[in-house]
Amino acid sequence: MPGERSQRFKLGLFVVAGTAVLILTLYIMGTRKDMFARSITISADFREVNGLRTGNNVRYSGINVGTVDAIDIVNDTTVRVRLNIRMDAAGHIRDNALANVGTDGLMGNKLVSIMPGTGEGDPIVDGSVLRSAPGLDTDAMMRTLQRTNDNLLSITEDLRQLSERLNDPNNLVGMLTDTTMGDVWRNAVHQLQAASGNARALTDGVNTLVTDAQQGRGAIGLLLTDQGTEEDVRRILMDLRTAADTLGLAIGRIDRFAQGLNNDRGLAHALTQDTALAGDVRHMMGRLDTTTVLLNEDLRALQRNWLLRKYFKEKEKGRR
Amino acid sequence: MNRAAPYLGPMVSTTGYRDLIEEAGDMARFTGRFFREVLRPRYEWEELLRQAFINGYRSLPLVAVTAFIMGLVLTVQSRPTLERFGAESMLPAMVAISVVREIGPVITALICAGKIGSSMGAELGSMKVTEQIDAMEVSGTNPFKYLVVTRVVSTTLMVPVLVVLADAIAIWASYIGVNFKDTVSWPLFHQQVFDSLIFSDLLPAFFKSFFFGFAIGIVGCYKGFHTERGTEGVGRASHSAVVVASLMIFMLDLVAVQITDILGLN
Amino acid sequence: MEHATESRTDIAVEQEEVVVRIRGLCKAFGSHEVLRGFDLDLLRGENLMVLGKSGSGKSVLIKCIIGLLRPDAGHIDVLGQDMLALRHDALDRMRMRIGFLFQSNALYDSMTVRQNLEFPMRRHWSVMDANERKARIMKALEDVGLAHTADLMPSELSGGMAKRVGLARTLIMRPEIVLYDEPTTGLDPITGREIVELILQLQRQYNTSSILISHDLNVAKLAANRVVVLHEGRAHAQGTYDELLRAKDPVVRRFFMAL
Ligand SMILES: Nc1ncnc2c1ncn2[C@@H]1O[C@H](COP(=O)(O)OP(=O)(O)OP(=O)(O)O)[C@@H](O)[C@H]1O
Ligand SMILES: [Mg+2]
Repeated sequence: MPGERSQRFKLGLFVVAGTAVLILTLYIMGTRKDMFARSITISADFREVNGLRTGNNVRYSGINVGTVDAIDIVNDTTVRVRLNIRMDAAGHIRDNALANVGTDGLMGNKLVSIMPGTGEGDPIVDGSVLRSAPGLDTDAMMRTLQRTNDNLLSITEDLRQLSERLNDPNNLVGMLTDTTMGDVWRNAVHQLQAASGNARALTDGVNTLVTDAQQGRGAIGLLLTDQGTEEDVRRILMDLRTAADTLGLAIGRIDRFAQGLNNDRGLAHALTQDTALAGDVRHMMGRLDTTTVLLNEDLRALQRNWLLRKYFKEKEKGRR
Repeated sequence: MNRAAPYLGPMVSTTGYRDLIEEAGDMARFTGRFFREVLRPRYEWEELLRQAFINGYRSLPLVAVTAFIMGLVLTVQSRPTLERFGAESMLPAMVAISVVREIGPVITALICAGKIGSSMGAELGSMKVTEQIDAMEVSGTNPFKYLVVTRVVSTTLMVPVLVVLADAIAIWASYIGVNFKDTVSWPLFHQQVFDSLIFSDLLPAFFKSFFFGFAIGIVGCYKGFHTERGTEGVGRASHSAVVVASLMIFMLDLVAVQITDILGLN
Repeated sequence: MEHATESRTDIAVEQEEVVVRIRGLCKAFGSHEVLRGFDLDLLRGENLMVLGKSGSGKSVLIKCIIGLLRPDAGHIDVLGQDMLALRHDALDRMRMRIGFLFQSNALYDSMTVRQNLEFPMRRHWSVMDANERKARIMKALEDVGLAHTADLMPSELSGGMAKRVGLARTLIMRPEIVLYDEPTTGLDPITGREIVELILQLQRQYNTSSILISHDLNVAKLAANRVVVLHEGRAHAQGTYDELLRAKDPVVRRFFMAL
């Protein structure tokens, strides 16, 4: 019957279409998961793998090069992760490379990231074991960042008050002649000491941050796959560096200045003997001001970023 | 026992009341009989192809339209939430995963339960009450083989095909949905979809759709075959086929989730 | 008609071969006992009529014979074989030798008339080629005078036509025994009579034995060699139409009172 023939044709078409879609999908997924490509197996030991599972991606310098094949607990402090690495990528990875468990974005899948190690190494072979690098603790980093910024703000505030007084010639003369000068100066010295203390804390913080970020060089890239966020963070780190350097200089000067104030010859001496200082302080004020503005902008940008929003929200709640 | 045996079921209980457990038992027996008959030779290829055409090909338009709308709506509805997290770029991945893992199979199966289950219940039910099934039996054709086995096999094989096509259509619709507010090229969309999909998204969902198809066929045929006399019974068979098949789909889905979880395929 | 009846009685008497033997048949639905020890013998070439009022279990009886219902007790031998012991293929092969005309015709309403007639031949497709099948279908339709309806759907047929198609389908495999379930019920008297004449004519043509079930005395008068009255689940009385017409038994009298 012709009707029956066309029915069979349509049915055939229907089944073939469905099967084709399925097979094509499986094939595409297969090539992506390297099911059909040749690969070698290496492993890496971690203290913990943070929810990594078999099948997760392995990246080398941000490129997918393989998948996690198996995860075994070796002993109470070591988890061994077996990785399938695509043959063509394996040639570029050296055995001194560092492996690291990261996240594809903050909400994404876990993945293993391999970063080039320092110095010479041989290409990995089947069975190579990679060392692992400590991961990046985002929360700790953000806390330091926030603290550093607070420090910076209070320094700038202290210095601004001081420089206002220094800048006003009337005030300066007033200060010199005023009988209450003692109080005023004690105040100023106090501010300066606070500033210098804060500045030291700030430099420490910045140092931690920068080392953290350097250690997690790969990790920060992984953590912040979002281009915008990564740029934000990199800029803020750079600005913090500048601020810290400037402050390093400033602190030396301020220390000396403060010491000058404290000795018997007093302010008048300090001002007249070390006129360069006043200029320096003013100059540094200008630089610090610019940096602070920049940093504030950076921080605000960071706060807008959804990845870090949770952190700032909690902070705000804590404040209230 | 001879073939007449299953006919005794509904006749014996003239009291009219058959509680749920009894019905479940009957359905299990019916399923057991299916497995016995499906393997014994004399295969009704003709009828199997006809049923595959009716249950598969003829269901495609309905399934396709539903899948399209589903993909589109899911995309448009998910966007605001993802936007709030600044993760619009995850839209294709999210839609693809939810369609492939859950929504595609379940919605397709429910559509089929409605369309195929009801027509099976009604068709076999009216054949039952007008003695057509008995007529087949006395003309030397095993009606269970001819009517039930072909239908159940056809839905078991066709629902997965429909699910695969529905998934594809829904994802394509999602591509259109993404481009309502964004411009994402097809290669990029394709990339994002396949970056997120893994075998354990697709395969368990695909396998469970066989069970969905099987449940639709078995329930539809069971209800039709066990229609109590009268045209009112036909209506009841038809609608309870839909209700029971839909419930079975959800229960199977629950079981499938547990199994994939136990097997570590999640 | 008279002549036909007499000649058939002669054949039956000559051969005395029992093609259907039923002993002590019991069938109950729940607590409702429909058959309670029914006995019956059908001789080769005989037209046996089972007379009983509506709901007395006539349909149940012939459904037991063909194996659509499984009796609770009793024996059914058809053509020398124990029907209750047969299963699967053996049962199907046996059923090919028995024709069954349903009370409701039971035409497959999703198939054309042609496909309806083709359906019983499915088992024989391997031995019967397409031409032979086609020829048989046309012959069967011609026999019932409906050659022009081959491509109609059952829903397009009138009640009488549907009955004829049902008859053609029942007889298409040339069964040796035919069970007719109320062939005239629901038809006007003229059509009913035509159907009965058709049954007799086909019967002569293919030399079948049959059990006719009815509460219609016209059928008994026209077609039956012998009449069995089914009452309260048993074969209450039997004899030729004329014998029963003269019987004194009150149950039997009640059937004939309507005349
Ligand atoms: N499948 C069944 N389930 C329950 N009871 C049934 C079933 N089939 C028949 N019966 C009962 O058996 C009795 C006899 O039914 P049957 O169909 O044999 O009557 P009948 O003699 O053929 O009547 P009619 O002349 O109206 O066709 C009825 O009382 C009916 O209720
Ligand atoms: Mg009846």
